[in-house]
Amino acid sequence: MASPPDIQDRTRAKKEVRRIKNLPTVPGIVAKISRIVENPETSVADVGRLISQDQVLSAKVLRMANSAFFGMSRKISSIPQALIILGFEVVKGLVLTSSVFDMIQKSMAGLWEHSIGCAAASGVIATYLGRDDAEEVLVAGLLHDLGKVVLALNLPAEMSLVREKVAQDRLYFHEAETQVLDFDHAEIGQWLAEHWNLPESLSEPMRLHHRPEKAVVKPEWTAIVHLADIIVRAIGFGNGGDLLVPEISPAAWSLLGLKKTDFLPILENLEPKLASLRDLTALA
Amino acid sequence: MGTGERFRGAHMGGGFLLAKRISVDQAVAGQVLAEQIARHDGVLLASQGSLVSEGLIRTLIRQNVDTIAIEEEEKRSDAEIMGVHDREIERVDAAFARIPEESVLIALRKTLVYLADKERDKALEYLAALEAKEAKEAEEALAAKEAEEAREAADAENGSEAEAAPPARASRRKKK
Repeated sequence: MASPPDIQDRTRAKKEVRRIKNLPTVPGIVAKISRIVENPETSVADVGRLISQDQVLSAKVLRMANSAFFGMSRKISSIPQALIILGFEVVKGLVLTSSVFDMIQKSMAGLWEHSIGCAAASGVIATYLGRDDAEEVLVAGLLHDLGKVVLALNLPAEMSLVREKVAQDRLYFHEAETQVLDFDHAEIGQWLAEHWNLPESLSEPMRLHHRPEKAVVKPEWTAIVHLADIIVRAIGFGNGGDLLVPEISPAAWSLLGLKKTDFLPILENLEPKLASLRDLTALA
Repeated sequence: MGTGERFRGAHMGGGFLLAKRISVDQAVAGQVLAEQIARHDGVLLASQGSLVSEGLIRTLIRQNVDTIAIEEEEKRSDAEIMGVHDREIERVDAAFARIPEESVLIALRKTLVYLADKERDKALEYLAALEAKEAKEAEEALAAKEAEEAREAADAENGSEAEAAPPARASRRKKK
């Protein structure tokens, strides 16, 4: 195993991650979907056929679509049906997530569980607030920590250092990242989102879930993912690398308009979903 | 995961579900599914929590399903149960080590601790009392602010009246 790099050599580490060829390429299927939807004549059936060609991927997408995430009373049995019921953006998000599932599993033990936990919590909070885009907010929650995947796979030695600092110095993960690298997984998430041409509705929560007060495109989504991340860490579902619960942004709390008494119904709505999501911990 | 292996699901508050994986031909009607069963193409055959029936067993065999997970009743001692609760409360307290007492998240911490103790009613009482206290403090703060504003307005009015009043006594003295 290589020895940890000099932690002063942050410039080298930064260049390593910033080199585009070090960022994972967007999953082929997601690139194809993005291309065909640029054509205004593309139908839902066309997109459905494209995704359905990959049976393994389709099976993963349908498992997620039928999971406790969405709590559908009726089983979704095909990709075209998923597109109609959940909408294109949600299905595209599930395709993206399913495509990078193996990468997430390899990167950090517990990160996949943390991601699906945050997704579930984002959906629960959005529904509790009466929003009609809860499924889309859920996808933002699912992808919020993709930057950690890139860090773990591209800079494993730095990742070890970060984890040591978290344990020894009682730092938050993003604080330790900043000390070791001069940047954190949220910034890496932004580079990845740009590289993959993801919409701002997804890239903003990836970039700002630790500083939601800076969000301008989707401030409510970002605030929801920020709170969901905190709640899932507090419950201890999965492992995003943090040992400690971070403080909530006062601006995000104020924006959401929640009261302290809302924690109990949110937790009670979330518990059965987390229990039911066990079957998604092995998506393969 | 092979047959005979037991596993637990993630569950808040120290509670959990114990499950065991068995071969389909060992399944017996009346058992409860601990996991949903889906075909390789994603089509759902049975949901988590469903009762196993003879018909379902035949279907699963036809669909070439090899193993299923069934719920098992856990036999635990009171000491073991208490141990799980204590560990959960310790975990929650440790996780919130950097959260200041005045943070809104302290309400989240206390709610989690009450739920770990299966004390939902106490969680409700605590949160209701907290809300009432904060509402009263907000009312008092508003009343104090309004009183202060009224004082400032009165001072400003007295000040301008004093500037506008004519210097009557001074002119009489001058005449003499």
